[in-house]
Amino acid sequence: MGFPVSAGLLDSMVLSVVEKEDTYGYEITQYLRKAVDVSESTLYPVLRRLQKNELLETYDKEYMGRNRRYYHVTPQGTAALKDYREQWKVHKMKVDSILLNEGEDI
Amino acid sequence: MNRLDFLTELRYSLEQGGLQKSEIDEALRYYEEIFLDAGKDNEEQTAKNLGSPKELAREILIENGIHADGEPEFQMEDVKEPFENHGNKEQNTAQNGYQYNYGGYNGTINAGNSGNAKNNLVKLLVILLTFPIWLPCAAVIFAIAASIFAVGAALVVALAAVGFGLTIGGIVSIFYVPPIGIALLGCGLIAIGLFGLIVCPIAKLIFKGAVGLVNGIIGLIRKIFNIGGVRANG
Repeated sequence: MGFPVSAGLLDSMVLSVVEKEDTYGYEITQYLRKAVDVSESTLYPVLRRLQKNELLETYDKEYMGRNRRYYHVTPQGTAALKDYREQWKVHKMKVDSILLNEGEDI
Repeated sequence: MNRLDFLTELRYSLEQGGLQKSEIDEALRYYEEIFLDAGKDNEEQTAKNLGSPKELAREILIENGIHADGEPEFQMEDVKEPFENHGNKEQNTAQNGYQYNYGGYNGTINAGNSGNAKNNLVKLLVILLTFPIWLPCAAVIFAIAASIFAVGAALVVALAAVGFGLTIGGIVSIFYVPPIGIALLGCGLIAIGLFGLIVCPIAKLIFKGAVGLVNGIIGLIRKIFNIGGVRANG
């Protein structure tokens, strides 16, 4: 991947993945890998940060005789994600206008 | 490297860095799950993808405000102890750790001495305040010991008196009724002999007991007030 992923972008992408459906650490990474080059170790601080900021919460669910930690988006998380999405649209448009010569004015 | 090796090394590095236990457990939980979800057969590959546990630990420590730059292992060793002493493991850089180390060192010595003095004062107070309890106990024990001693002593003295009396009586009677005099003399000598047999070991025992008692009391006082301990600390 030629473009590095910023912390803010990673936060919003994780929120978006978890918002679709409650899921666990390994699956979040696998899902994000479709778009960006991240590893489980990149994701741990992101998840921890989101938890501490109360945008994500966790709960344990039994799976194959062990507990798996699932992540769930809190109402604050949903609000934050909405904000992130708006910001992203603006950001994307601006970048596209330069990089792809799209749109007439910035 | 398999799952267990990886997690063990990660835990060790995080502990060395002085990270609080709840954070360590959280991180270990996450990475253990990653290994389990990636599959038992892929442990080596998963470990490879995650990179070195040491580097991972370093990143987690930085995320938690513990900056281990330069010579990580050496500094982390130094940082660890003051953190444990102060129970303050949050948001401290390695530099703060050094300051803590200094403060912690001085603090320990001061706290040790003042703590001792304070402790002694408390103990003295406790001993003084509980005298209604221990004073009667001590008095009773002393009285019992004294009466046993008195009875014993009286018996021994009586034995001596009987012995001497019989001996003297025997010597006197020998001139009037020789067989009775000899018998009395014999009994008197037996009594004196018994007196000697009893008194000698008792005298030794009393001497030893007195020395032991004095030593014991001195030792007890030392122990209660930690006199030896203060000398060792100073």
